Amino acid sequence: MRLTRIQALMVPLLAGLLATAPVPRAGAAGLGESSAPAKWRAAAHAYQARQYDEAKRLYEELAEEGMNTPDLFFNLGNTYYQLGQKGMAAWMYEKALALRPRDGDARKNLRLAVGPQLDRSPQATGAFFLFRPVFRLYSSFTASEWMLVLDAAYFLAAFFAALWILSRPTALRRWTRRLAILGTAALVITAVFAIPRLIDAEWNRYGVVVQRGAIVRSAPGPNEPEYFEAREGERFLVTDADVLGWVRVMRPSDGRVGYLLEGAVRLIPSYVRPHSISP
Amino acid sequence: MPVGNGKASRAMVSLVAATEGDSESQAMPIENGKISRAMDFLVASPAAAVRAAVGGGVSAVAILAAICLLVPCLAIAEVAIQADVSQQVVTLGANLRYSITITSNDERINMREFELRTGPSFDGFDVMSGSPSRSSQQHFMNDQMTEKHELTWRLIAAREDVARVGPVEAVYRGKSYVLPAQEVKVVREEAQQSNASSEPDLAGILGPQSDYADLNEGLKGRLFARLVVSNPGPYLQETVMVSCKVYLDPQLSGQIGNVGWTPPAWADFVAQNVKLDDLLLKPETFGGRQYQSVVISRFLLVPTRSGKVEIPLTRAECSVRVRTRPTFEDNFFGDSFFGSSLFDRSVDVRLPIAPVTLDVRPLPTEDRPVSFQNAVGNLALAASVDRREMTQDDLLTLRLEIGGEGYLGSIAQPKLPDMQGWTQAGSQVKIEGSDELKSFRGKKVFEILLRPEKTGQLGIPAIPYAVFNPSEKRYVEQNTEPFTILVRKGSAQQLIVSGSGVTSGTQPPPQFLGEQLAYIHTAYPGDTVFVPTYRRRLFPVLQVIPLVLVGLALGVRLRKQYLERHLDRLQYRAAGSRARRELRGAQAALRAGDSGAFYRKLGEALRGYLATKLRRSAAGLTLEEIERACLERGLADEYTRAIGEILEQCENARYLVNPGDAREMNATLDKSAEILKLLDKHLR
Repeated sequence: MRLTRIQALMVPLLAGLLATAPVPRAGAAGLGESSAPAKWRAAAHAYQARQYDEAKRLYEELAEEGMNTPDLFFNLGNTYYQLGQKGMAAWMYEKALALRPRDGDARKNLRLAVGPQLDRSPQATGAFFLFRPVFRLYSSFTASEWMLVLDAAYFLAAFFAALWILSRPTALRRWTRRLAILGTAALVITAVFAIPRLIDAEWNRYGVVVQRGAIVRSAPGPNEPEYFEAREGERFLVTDADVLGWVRVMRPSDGRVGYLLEGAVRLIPSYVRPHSISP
Repeated sequence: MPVGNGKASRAMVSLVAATEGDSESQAMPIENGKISRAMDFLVASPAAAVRAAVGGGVSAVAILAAICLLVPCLAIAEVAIQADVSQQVVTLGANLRYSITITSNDERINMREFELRTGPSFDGFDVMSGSPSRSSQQHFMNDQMTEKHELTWRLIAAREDVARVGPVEAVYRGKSYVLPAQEVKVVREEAQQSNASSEPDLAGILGPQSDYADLNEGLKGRLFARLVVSNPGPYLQETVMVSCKVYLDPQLSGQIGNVGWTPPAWADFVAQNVKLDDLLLKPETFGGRQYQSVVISRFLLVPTRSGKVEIPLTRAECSVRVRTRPTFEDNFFGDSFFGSSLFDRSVDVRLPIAPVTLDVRPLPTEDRPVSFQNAVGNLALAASVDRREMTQDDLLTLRLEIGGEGYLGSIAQPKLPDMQGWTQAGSQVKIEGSDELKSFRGKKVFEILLRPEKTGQLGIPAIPYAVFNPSEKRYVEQNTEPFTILVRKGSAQQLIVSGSGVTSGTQPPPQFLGEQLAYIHTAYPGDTVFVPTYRRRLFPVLQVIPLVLVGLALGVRLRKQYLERHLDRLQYRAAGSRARRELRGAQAALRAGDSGAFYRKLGEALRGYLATKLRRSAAGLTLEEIERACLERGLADEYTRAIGEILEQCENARYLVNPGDAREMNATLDKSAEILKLLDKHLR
């Protein structure tokens, strides 16, 4: 069967969309269909019964077994919160938000865990009001989602460009030209969001302070001068994760750079690899 | 009449009055100006003055005394020169100044006409500077100008005895002035207690080091450095000031430069460098000798462990200007530029500094209050709140400030007492201050956020805090003031959600979750592993597809355009293959026994080929034109005729019922193929 020109152009587009669909967990059959859901239910029951230690144990086992969904991290965050470990709770909420930034529950609970002083919303950080919707849009999608949108814009722009090239000088050519220009504009606009988001996700590493009273020092060493105190649950940009047992961090709000003990910070990767609760 | 200043004045008044013919009644008030004018008058008429004095019955002695007094007054009327020392009694090694002052009341002094013919000599003193320093002043008072010039020598008492400074013979405008010698008594200095805690001892001072042994020997005891510690026995976490001081012989001042010090690593200390505004030389006695000293570096240190803590051996550096040739004799008012700088060179000298050991005492443990949080120094705690009335939705900021003198970096947050009705919602700590020493003399601020758990009058109790005061050697306990806050009801509601989201008789009762926390997600999310789009293996491959798509479209379009532009040429080139294709079609028709189709295809092959090669339309191409074109291109007659015959045959075959048998048609076909080959060769 010979494909028409349009059909031939649609094939790669569909292939691209199919390639980005969620992947069933490899080895899921090996774990057994009953174990993970059963543990999940057991953990929820334990949480409901206020047996937070048991709930924590079960959720952590699920994470070690390879589950890395935002719901798991959210539930773990709640469990840590109930156990009074607000730093760990904040870390879990941050991990959930890294995978699902539009999760209102995780945002709300994170705000409760860290307090209003560490609220990172555009209003709280005092951004200019016209920029707030832009910031909100930027941060409401993961890098993966932005790359998907970018890819779609890229395919569309290429498709319309190809159509325009092939069409004869008629009204169709004019319309395909306009669509190609629109597609290219959409590509550029999406790239403005997607590329920084991708860079932020892949190259910037963030960490959350999980220890109360953690002191940021001006150099890596216990006797080095104190710089400032990091709050439990505060998020930092990690510029160097291994400096002789210390971590070099930068506070995004004021750009202060210092060193925290390794154990006081937990990293938040954008892509949380399975089989590790502490990446 | 006895001679004294006042009496002499009266004598002068008498003299003036006598010259005017009235002995007593016209006494003039004695004022500077009037006296001057009187002196002018007297100078103008000395005979009249003597006559008046004698006529007035003044004794000869009085006259002589008046004349003696007049002479210096006359001098004052022009220039007065006097010598002076700053102290009559000095201690051995102390500084003093010797000054020669030239004063004029009336006219401008031209210092170029001034010369020191002899002296001054400074026997028993060391001169700190070669040339004297000079200063000039002018005063205007009551319309009269007074000008003063001063020459000052800075001396150091070098010998215990009665020393003499001077005498001096000065000449100004040809007139000689002799200034007598001044005596200064030099006594032995008493032992001075220096600012340093350690006893000044030249024995503990290390000698300078350079590449020149004779220079080292010459500088020994005259140039050295040491560390001055404010307190050699501090308590743990007590601030200690350490200064690096360089001492130099006063005679070396002006020859030392580029002074610096490399501090150690401060392994057992928290160290803060103190910025020094100016490096000023000050006189100081050390080891029984007078030096000029300067602090070149200063640190505030906080020991981090108790016991013997050593500041190790360090080194200061400087450069010493060494004269390689003798200088010229300085003129009195000439400068020594040509005499010194051209022949000097700088030598780098290292000044090792002996180690200093601090005996750091641990903080006393007995009677240590529970509220002690590593605050050591002269510190005080103050508390404040940001509001006195609030709702339950608000947060209260409790601000605890610890300020004063002491190291703030290690101070921990005061332990809060039982805060009934409050939950701590967060805290922040910062150190406030205006300079880099804010950790030592600023304020450490703890801001604690409190959330009220209930409404009503809630109290924040006094917060105890203990500070160890090193000077008092004891713990000092303080308490902040208590606060009462009025908390009203807020608008936020407590979230109550059951485990499954549905409340029923069989479900457990709704649980209070506390602080509006969103409940856990109970639905199982499935066995999904999140992998970012851009990390999947196919993703980079797929990015190529749009490029390929556009590339293909471009390729197609370009080919189309090329074909359109070069259609004729392409058709010309393809004529042979098209003709051969038609021949194959004719062969197929021959095999099929369709003679009509055979001849038709054969005719199309040849005619089409020739039309393309001759760039003519096939429909209008005649046999004569074909033959003529073939002959023009050098094709042999027989082939030209053969083409004509074949074409005619093809033409006639349309009308014949039996155009020919298969053998003939085969032969015709072969002939046509042969002709086409030849035509390809000739009609390129």
